[in-house]
Amino acid sequence: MTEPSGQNPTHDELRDDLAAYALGALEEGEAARLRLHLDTCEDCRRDLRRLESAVELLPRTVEQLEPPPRLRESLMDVVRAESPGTAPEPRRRAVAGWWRGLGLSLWRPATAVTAAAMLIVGVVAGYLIHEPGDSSNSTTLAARAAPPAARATGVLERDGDSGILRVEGMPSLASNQVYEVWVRRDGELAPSSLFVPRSNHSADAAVPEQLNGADAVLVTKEPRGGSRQPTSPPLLSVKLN
Amino acid sequence: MTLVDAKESDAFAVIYDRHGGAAYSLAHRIVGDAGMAEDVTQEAFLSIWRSTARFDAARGSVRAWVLGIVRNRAIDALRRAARPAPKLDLDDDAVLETQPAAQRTEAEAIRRETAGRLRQALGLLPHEQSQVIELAYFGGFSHSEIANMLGAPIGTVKGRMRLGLEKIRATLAEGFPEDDAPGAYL
Repeated sequence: MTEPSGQNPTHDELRDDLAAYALGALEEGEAARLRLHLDTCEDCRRDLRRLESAVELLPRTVEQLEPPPRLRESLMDVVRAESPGTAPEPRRRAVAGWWRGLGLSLWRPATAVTAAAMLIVGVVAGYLIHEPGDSSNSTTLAARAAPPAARATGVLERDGDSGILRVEGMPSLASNQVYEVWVRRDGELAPSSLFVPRSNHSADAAVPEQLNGADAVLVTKEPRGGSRQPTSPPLLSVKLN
Repeated sequence: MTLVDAKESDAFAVIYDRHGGAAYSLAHRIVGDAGMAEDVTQEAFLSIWRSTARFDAARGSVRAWVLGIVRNRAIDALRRAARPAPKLDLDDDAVLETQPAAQRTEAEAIRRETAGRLRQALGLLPHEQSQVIELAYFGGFSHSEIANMLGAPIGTVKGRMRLGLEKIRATLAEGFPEDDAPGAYL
């Protein structure tokens, strides 16, 4: 093996990293450096393809197990709910009832109480964790929780128009329920993804290509398959601006 | 992967039916827990369904693409759980014994037999080579972490990884057909 020479590694030093790279065992900085080299070195690209073909055999050495049938059922529930053919309504639409008033003027008493409590009990106000002036397009915003989910915490990792909502401490769901993510824009709510927390009550939910111009992301408990309009008060909310 | 791009749930079902077993098995091998493996597999397939990242046929088979995503998710889950990889050897018989009996399709039977033969052949690698490969691929450890763990220079670890992978390729790759050809649809 070639001894590393510091900040400007030689071709041979970079080539020595290829096996670790193929195995996913380089630190991110090293991997980024190697990717730059791969852009310009056909020999290393060829070498990497050979090594990767060996790595691709590794999963096949694993004893083959039968996934539980409920895994397929659960996945297909989400997929069908998110499939365009099953969502005839446009993403952006007016929302009737107390939901329209969240943050606006159409408060009904019960909702006003819930929302006010949400503001008070909120774990933390939404805030920007990244330093101002961070040149990246990614921000992390904290969620605030309403009383029924007072122990829940979460962050929205926003990257441009999309994001990933990572939550913990979510209350358990009945077998016929899911959590649904909503994006609020100008008082209108658009359904986003559905999720079921893991056994440790955490979950990661995608919010794809909906966040530009939106002012909040909210989470409600809904019947399995999701709803076209929220049927329960929000348990988590993330203010976007 | 145009059907999934178009959000066709039927196409997604085909992908899951074809690769879900291998995905769950890999997740289980990495995280060592059935519930966690289920979570990881679910996360991985949902990310495939929702992701803007696309399958690139020029870079390999669909199975390799799917399993790469599963592996990354499983390693992330291991790190979140802050616990070490459950096993450091290539003998999964104990895991097998814990599984309930289930009906197997012919394809699954072939996959299981292939896995057994591959595992046996991998067992012929020098221990120091299979060990570093195991720790990296299934344990999610970086080469520097492995070097610390084994008290070996990083260069030595890298060298063992390369030698091991080259032997795997030389002795195994030609003897086992691809279960889906690179670039195969779905």
